[in-house]
Amino acid sequence: MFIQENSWGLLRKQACSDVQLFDIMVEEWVIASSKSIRLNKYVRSAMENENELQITSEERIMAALAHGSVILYGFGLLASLAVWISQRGKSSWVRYQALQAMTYQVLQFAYYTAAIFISQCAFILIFIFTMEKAVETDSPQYFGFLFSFMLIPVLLIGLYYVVAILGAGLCLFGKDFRYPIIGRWVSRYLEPREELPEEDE
Amino acid sequence: MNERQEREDRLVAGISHASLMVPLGFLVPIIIWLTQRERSEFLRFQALQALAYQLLGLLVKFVIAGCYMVSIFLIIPLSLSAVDFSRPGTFTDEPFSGGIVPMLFSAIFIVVMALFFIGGPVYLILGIVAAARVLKGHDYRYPILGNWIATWLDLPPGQAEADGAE
Repeated sequence: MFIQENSWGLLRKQACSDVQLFDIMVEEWVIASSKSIRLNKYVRSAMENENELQITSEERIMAALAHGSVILYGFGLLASLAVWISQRGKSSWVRYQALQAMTYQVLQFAYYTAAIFISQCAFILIFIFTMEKAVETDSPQYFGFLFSFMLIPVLLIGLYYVVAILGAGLCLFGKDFRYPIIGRWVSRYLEPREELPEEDE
Repeated sequence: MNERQEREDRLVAGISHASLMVPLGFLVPIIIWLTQRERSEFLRFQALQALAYQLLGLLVKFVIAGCYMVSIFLIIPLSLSAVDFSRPGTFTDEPFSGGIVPMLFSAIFIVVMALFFIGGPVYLILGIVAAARVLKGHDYRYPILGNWIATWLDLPPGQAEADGAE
């Protein structure tokens, strides 16, 4: 089984040009890393339905720009809006990706506020519940433990950028990326399920 | 127009309303209005309305910041200091010797702070409410500004919530 898979892969590689070979190598790397690191289910679902899409390289680059513009801190909304305006009549896939990215980037500062608020609440609660024990033992390590919880907002804000840059990378390789909650919401908003034609022929 | 495009326009109108949460977000309705006004009547009105609302908010923010700076750096120190205003260059023993006028001006500070703490959240929440109404499919109009822009665009006034709903 293992040898068969390998020889099939070799044949596939021999039949391809260099660019396609690079694509296949990247794809294999993504699959291998998702198997080993266990990336989340959104990445795996993105890889499963890639065969249905026929995406040109220009569309990939546009979608990756729309997602990757999140690093511009507030101006990224303008970049993804420009992508939506310029690609509106051309490609429905890029249109969807740009709308998704715009929705994600409009909610950036709401996400920041929520992340900081939640982590401060957690900090205060942990402080209240562990204060007595800390006073009893009088250990300086307690403050290290306590202030390590200050890293939670930093990690949450980092997660915001990591998700968007992961999306940019996946779009660059032609995968149908969706943000965790926003992606499903946008696609359901654009094509609501109850208004689909119900034909019982 | 097909229905998907209408829904997409609605989503983009909601984003242009919600862009008041982003710094320099007023550039979003400007760009939408400049590029999409020929394509969609709905987007044209909603983007112009969001633009007017956010520019008005920006203007009020500048005025509040100016009042804050003037009152906190000029008027309150003057009214609290012991400068004798009747004879410049001399000081009296008692504070508040400037009389009633600097103290009245220092009341500006209190009013400005009240505006900042009450008006800021109201501004934000009204914008988010507008975004939510537009996403739900209503042809939302801001209380006074909306009808004003509608008359300027020669749209019929007062049909705001009537026929836009799903």
